[in-house]
Amino acid sequence: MNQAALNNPESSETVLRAEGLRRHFTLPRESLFRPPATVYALNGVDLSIQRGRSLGVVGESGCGKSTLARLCMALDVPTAGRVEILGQDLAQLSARELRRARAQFQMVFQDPYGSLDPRHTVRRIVGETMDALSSGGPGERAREEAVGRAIDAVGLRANDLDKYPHEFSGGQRQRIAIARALVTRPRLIVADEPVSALDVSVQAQVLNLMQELQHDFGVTYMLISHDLGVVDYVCDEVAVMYLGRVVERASRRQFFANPVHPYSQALFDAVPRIGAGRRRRTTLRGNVGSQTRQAVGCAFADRCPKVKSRCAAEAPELRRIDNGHMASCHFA
Amino acid sequence: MIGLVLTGTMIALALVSLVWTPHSPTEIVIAERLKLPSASHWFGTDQFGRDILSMIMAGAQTSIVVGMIAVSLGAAVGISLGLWAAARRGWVEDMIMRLSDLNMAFPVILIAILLTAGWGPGITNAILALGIYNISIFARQVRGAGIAMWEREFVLAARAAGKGNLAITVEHILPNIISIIVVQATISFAIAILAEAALSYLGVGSQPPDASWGRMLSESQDYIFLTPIIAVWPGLAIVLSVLGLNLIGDGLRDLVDPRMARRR
Repeated sequence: MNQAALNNPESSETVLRAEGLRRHFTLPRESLFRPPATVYALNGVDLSIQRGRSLGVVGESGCGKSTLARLCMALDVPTAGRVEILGQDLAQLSARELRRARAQFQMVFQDPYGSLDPRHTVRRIVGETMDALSSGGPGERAREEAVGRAIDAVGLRANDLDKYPHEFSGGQRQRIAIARALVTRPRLIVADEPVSALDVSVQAQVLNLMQELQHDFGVTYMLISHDLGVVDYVCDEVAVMYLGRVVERASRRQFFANPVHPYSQALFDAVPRIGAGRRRRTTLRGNVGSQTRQAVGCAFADRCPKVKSRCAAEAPELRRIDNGHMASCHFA
Repeated sequence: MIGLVLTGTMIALALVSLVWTPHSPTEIVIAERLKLPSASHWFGTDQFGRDILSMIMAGAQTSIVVGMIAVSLGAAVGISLGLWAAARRGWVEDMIMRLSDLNMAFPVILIAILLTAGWGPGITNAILALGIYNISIFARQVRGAGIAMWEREFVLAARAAGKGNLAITVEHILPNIISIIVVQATISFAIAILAEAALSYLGVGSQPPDASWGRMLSESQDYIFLTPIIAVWPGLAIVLSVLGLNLIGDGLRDLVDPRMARRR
């Protein structure tokens, strides 16, 4: 346990803390004479989530959202920085301790068609996570009970246990994936675009289920999405990412009332709205900046509608705008 | 279905030949040589007056034994290496694949001739040559399919559940590529029968007096203008059993896929 966790009462326990997370990927060498290119997927991300809260991470494709999720789940190793879950630095754990610790944090993946092994029954898929609890396995009875509870919690029936994933619809499959994440009663669930592969009609069902489970089991969510509507519906807090950095961080209310970073504003304007009329929209020019170069100034400078000369020269820090509202823009 | 019938017939012939053949496949009756099919010799007789049906039956034994052992050897070693390469990538993969390139650079006939040069001709060396040849075939197939499986999200989910590389390989990778392996095994079996025939034809496979379809074919060559029918029988046996195995491979591929299995 770290100092903060000891001093604070239960209610404000930090479940996930990321400090200065960087992840750089080296691309295969293209030329003998040039150094291989590096993809800067994450460039120093700081995050923390308090117990029972849910944080929405938004941003467009390639901004490092999924890399962040994998680092938080110890599925990948950061180039620099650290991830603490329940005050425990993941890098400090031995392989064995990490295995056991995994019961505390689980993940729901984006594609419910790809994340379930087509050759395993639901019983086996959901039970798989149970095996991580202890080296000897949880024992047949306890395992069976936990699987039954989890499957019940996500609204599937007991006779679904011996079916295979292909016998279910997309929404049901995602329920199975949630049951799998839930079976060890984790404190943290990271959901990487949990509904973006589903039909809109089913999205709400799955999101409602996730909210119910949060209420019943007191799990903490990190929900990764590119859909502001989903984040607005489920999350208490929002972090906006652009090119491997968090550019804005706020509570849901603050963020949806007053997004201050120009990129956040552009995200809002990109959401089609009925009856919005001929309101002026800021549409972003160009594509996401290069991931293989690190900008000197603000990473968003080349697409920002409010760009000034200062932006190219000086990188903005993530600074406090309002109580609990942070943004990295010189002019916010 | 046809595949099952053809392969079933071949196996039945081999099994029956263990206890009974119409005549002894090795009994030489010079007076009866090069006879056309008749009531006592259904398929006729060869240049030494041996009963061809009996020889075909005994030859089926040889083919099956060679195919089984060669494929098992190749599959056991090849699958392990392929799975290892897919799981570890990096230098392990490079080493295994370059070794398999090296192996593939030698055609099966050449391997057999090499072994024959070292330890003399014989059925054991033919089996060994085919087995070695099969190793790289299986290793390549399994590695390719395995790598594709490792990219799937359920593997990531298994890692999030705390599974190690070995557990993931056994529980997720292998079951998902088993259909590819089964298909490859039946095809390799067919190729092994063909190759055994070829090796025996060339004289580096099974040796007289053991019956072999390949050697029957090569020996009948000298009499092809005299009694062409004696070349037809072993040829037909080879074609039909290879065809049968290929059809079975096709059918099995559909059967082991649970999505297909549930639908029927």
